[in-house]
Amino acid sequence: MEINSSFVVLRRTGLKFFELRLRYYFFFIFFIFLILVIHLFYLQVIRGKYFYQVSEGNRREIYLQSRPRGIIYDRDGKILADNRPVSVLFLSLQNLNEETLKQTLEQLEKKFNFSQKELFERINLEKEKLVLRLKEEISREEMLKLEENRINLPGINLQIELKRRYPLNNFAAHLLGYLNEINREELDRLFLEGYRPGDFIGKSGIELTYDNYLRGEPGGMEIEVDARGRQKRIISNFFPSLGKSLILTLDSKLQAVAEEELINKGRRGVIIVLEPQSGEILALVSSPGYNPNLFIEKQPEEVKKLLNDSSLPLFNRAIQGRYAPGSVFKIITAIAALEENKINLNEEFYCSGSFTLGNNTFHCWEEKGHGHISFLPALIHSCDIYFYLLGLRCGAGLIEDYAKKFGLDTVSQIDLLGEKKGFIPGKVWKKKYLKQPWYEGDTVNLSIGQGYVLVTPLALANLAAILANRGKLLQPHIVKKIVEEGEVVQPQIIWEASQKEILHLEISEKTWQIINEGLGKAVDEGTGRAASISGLEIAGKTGTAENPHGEDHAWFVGYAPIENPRIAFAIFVEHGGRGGVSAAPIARRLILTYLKNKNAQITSVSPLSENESN
Amino acid sequence: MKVTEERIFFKLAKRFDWTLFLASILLTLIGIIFIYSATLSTGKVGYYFWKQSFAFGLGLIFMFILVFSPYTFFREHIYLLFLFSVFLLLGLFFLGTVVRGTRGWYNLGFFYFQPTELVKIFYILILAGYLEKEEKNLDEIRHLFLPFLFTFVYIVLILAQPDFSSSLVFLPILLVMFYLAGVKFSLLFGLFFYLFLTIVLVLFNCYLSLLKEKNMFFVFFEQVMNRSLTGVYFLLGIFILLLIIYWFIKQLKFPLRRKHFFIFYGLLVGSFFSSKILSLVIKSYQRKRLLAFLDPKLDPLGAGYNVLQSKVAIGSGKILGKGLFSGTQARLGFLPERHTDFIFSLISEEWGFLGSLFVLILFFILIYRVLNVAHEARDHFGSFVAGGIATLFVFNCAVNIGMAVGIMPATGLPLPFLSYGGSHLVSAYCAVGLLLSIHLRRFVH
Repeated sequence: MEINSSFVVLRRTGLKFFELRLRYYFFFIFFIFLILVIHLFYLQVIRGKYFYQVSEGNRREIYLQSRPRGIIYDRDGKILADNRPVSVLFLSLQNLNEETLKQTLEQLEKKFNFSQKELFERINLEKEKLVLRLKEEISREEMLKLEENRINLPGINLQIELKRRYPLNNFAAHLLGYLNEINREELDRLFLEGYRPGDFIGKSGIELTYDNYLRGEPGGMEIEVDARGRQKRIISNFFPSLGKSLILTLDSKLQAVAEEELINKGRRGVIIVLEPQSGEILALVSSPGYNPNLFIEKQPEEVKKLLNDSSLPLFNRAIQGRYAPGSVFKIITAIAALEENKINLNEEFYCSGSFTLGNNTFHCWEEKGHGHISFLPALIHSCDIYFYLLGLRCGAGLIEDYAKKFGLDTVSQIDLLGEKKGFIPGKVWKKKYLKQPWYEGDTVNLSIGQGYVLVTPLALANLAAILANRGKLLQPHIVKKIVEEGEVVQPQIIWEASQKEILHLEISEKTWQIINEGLGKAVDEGTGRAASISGLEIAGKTGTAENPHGEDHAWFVGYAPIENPRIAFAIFVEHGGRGGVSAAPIARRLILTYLKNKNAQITSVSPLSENESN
Repeated sequence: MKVTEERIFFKLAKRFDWTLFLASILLTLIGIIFIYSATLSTGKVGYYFWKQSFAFGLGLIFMFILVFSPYTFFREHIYLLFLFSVFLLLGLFFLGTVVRGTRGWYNLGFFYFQPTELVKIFYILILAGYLEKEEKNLDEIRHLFLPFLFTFVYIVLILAQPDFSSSLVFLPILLVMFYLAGVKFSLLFGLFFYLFLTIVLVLFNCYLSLLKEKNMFFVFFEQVMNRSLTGVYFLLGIFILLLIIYWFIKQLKFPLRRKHFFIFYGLLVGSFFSSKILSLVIKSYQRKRLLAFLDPKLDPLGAGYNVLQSKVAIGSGKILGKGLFSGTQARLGFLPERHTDFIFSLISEEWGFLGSLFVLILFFILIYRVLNVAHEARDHFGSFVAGGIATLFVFNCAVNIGMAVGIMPATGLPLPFLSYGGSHLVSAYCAVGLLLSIHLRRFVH
């Protein structure tokens, strides 16, 4: 009994057992400290970077200063796109919780006639956006009201922004392009380059191509704030750099005339005018056009109408439309035949108005037929039968090769994004994709630019330039100079387009002479008579492209003057009928306009005026 | 004569626990530096700095008084100590000053004295004295009645101030001192079970009170927790349920005594009622803090804000810290209570992981030395006192730092030696004084 009780005492109070308990307790404490150390390691070492950023975000507030987008001028310094100041009401969701958001929305409804429900819907819709643009063009009264109620409106900001403006509205819309709010995909791609939610970004035209230059570098102040939002000091101040301005090669007067001919007359189509010696685009019209201001002004109805319009006003036909070139293509067939010595100029073919090959009958546009006809008259009068036979003599492969040599199936890398390639069919292609052999009928079609062949209007304009330059093509471009305009300093040219030869064809002088003669006479006495101007030698080729959608497309491609050409052009009128009828007269007006501007430069031409020649 | 005096001095100096002493001094100095840093952005930089320095000096004086007086004095007078501390706490209701809703301070003119801090030390002394005296009888529950009574009185008086966070420390101290004194494991387990259940019920009740959508189960529990009559029915129902289970287990010939059944039920009822009382005492901001711990997303800008910002402060210090006096979280006011409850977050921000590790190691060394005092003490009274003080430090440390890193609910317990607070620092040095005294006299028999 005694032993037992002393054992019990020993069990609990003996030194050894106390020590043991103390040791267990020590381990327990060690364990607690270990947990704390592990947790600190996690917070400070593993996630330190993240928390550091959070703490920096806590204390830094960035006030971005709006930076005006660069101005776009035409070649004579006329403003095509500039900016105007607008006051914008923003709702920043970043630091709002449910309660404060609700408060703000209530106040907005009460004081500024916003609908709470609509705002809530917008917030739910545009969840990924931290900043909502509530309203633009805030009136003076509203501004005062806002300042008075600032305390009750957490998250509300008023900022002066410079907004893009296109003072001439629809003018050169496809060339300039339009701006719209940056979308998610673009934001992910461009975030590192400084694009932020709510930014406006070029969506097409040179606004898109040169967005990087036009938008400038963001600027603003980084301010240290304390927990109550009081500003402590400016951490850094970086001035926004203004967007660079662009000087285009565009000739507004020419462009205006071109637009008049197509857009104002309600005709769909394309006009491209360029300077063959430099590659400068003087006019580029795709009709129908649109008003790029609509995107900036946020008129969803109007924009929707644009997007759903069956005439595709946003579609830049000049670089993205692909059409059959029709008789314009005869130039290719002719050059191929001349260069490869497939034809004697005096050799005549007989045109009866139709031509039968196997089971198919092909017609000449001249139903009566041209009778016996040799090379030059065939080119001048665009005799189809002659070119069928010429094409058959050359063979499809040769024509295909020459078409490709002239770059009809490539992009010219003009400074407009979205340029499409044309298409030149061939035996290999047909076998591979249509699983059909190449028939002679296909060659017949190809030789006059019908059938599978498709080209962009720009490619034909380039063709005209090649002909004008006798084999050389200079990089077509729209932006002549990029200029840095400061408020104090003189404008500085930071980039200037160089005249880069992108194509050089080795074609004999003789061939060029024959082609020049043929195309010149086509205007003087042939299919392109409607373009002729007395006293000026103009080369041109009409085209009338049959197409499955309706009436024929009208083409007129050419250059002037034949000796030392100044301009080359491609005119395309969708469903315009005969090229000589609807396209050629446009060329005439364009050339006259050009001459009027450049009168001094071309002395060989007698003084002309538009009225006189009409 | 002179020689012997010198000898005694050297002997004392040799026996003196320098590590413990220096660790606490170092912690206090770090604390003072960071209190200075924390209050840099306020207009009263010197105010907090000098007050804490003054408390440090006062603490050192008290410490040396205690070092040079025999600690056994307290063993002889535990009931007197109890009466004195009860007197101090009761006096608050008549003479106390209210600070932030808590009537917990005496205004001594130059100093606000918070007796609760001192009472914690008294409590440890009283418990140690009692446990040593009754060491051989601890198997019998009736001998444990008195410690429970002491604890109960203290907790009730402190909750009545009301000071929820200070009342938390008593039960862990009781639990550890019982454990060190060798109280039966089943009893400790019962006590732990009671504590655990109480805390769970309090948290659950808090959770219910802010829940917006409730299912049947939650509605039922809300009724039980908040309506006395339903509560009574509920407890009766549990009683019958347990009775059936008990009977069932008996049928299986499982050795289960009736006593266990009643103890278990008693613990249930006890924790049920104490959680109800606690729920009444908890202030609404504390309730929100508890909730924020349960679900930080409930109110990220309100109650959850403090802990979130504290985590940001700690994490943003990374490995090397932002540099002394350069913590942006603290200086710009994102970190709340940075000179008191969240001083550790400030240290972590400015000194980084290395700094916070350094502080934790200092604490660990300190506590290791305290346990060493418990180990080497010549009597069990000294051991128990040291064990209790170790628990006081560890509990405060764990809860405070745990709160700063977000793994404990924000209760507002100070960090020993580091947090601003005069009474707290002085009483910590009283504790160190006691420990050094116990250690110094370890060979005296």
